[in-house]
Amino acid sequence: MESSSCQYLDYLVAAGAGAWLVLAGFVWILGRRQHRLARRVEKLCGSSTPTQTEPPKPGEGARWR
Amino acid sequence: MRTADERVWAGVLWASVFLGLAAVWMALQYAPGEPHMGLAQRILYVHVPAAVAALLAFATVFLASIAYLRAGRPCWDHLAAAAAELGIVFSAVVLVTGPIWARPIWGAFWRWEPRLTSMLLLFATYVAYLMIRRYGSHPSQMRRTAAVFGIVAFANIPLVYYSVRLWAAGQQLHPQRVDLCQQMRVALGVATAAFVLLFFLLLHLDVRLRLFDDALAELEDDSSLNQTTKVEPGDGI
Repeated sequence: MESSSCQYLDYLVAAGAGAWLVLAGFVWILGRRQHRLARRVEKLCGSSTPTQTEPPKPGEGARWR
Repeated sequence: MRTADERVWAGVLWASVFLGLAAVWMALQYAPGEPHMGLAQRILYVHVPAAVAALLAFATVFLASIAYLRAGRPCWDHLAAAAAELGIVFSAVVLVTGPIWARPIWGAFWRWEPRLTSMLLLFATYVAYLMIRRYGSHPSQMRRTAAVFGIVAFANIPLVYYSVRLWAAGQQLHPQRVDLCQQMRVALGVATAAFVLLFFLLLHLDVRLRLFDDALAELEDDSSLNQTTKVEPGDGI
């Protein structure tokens, strides 16, 4: 009964891989969301420093561009 | 130093990993095989727990939507949205594993029989729920509309659950009665526990991200407000 013990093994592997991919995909989406939030936090902290919010002094416009 | 909350969720994570590994071993080694379906029958240990997790997620949407309409607190809305996403994810697992199981047993990936059709309808309903949330114009109105939709959509759950009994046996491909031996039931119970824990863990992470997003948006608003109102009277004129 060697063949019956492996009967439909490919279907079992496909179903397991499919389930794994769907769940891993969602975890990846959550990870991306977290990454985007972290970038927003960085941006927020960066924008609150005075050097970046200060407007250019007269004559410095060319360097800012 | 971890807070008590973090310790609890770390415990849930490890319990979920442990139960998941135990479920894989039980599904492949401990539980006896089924003579007619061969190894395809072992898809049961992913398919059914995913369906339980999906129904739990949609029940959470229902309860959180009621709580949001009653209390109006945004955290309930976030809970409903996160649970709907997870319900769709677990439904997708059901809709992926089901046809793969069906192919060798029924001879086709898909048949328009009551359980399959009602499950697909349920999936589509909650995709529509997320689309309402995504494309709604006014935030507070969108949240209320989504909450009402989340309550009404729950009517699909009994339809899916009882679909094998509501229609005649001749129209069914899903069995109306399932007899599992003791070992199969234990393996199925462990796999279901692993999926349910995974659901709560992912729900917690998703809700936390949403609450953090809200808090950050408020800070960004404050920050931009401070920058625009920094000009002293008489400065620019």
